Amino acid sequence: MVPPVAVSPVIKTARWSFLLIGMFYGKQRYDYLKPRAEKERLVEEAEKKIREEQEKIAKALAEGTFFKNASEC
Amino acid sequence: MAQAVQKLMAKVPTLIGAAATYSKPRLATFWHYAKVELVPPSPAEIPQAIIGIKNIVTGVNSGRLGQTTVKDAFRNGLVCTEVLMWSYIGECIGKGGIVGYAV
Repeated sequence: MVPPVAVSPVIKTARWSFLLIGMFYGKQRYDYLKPRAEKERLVEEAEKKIREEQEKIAKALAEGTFFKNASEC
Repeated sequence: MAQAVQKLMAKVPTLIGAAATYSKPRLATFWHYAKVELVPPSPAEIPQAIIGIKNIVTGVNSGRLGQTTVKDAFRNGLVCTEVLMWSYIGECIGKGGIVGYAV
């Protein structure tokens, strides 16, 4: 087997410091994105409710059952 | 259908055994090289690394780095890319997932 290569200290420090920097960056970005995603989920839910209400109304109008006890006048 | 699932379940221990026998020598070679090449720098090596970086900076300023051959430059570029990729692995560790942020 080829003997293992002696890696230069510059490369070793650079590798592991980039690993640590990456870990910090990932954690920071996650902490930044998490509350924003929560807010967006709430907004999306509220909008979805409104949209579904409107769709129900539109469907009822189309079927002619919008007015209670609808009967052909 | 149930018989096929049963036959598969009976085969799982043999498959795991085969995977173990296949991977053990390869893991051993990996560990043999990783012990020397992938270890973090010992505290004694960090000043050497700082000196090395200073050498690179002086090399850039003096124009010596402009004299590198294309072959050397290509090799150095590959090494730099590999070093930069470690930051992506760190990001995956930091965000707790491989693809995308689990928010």
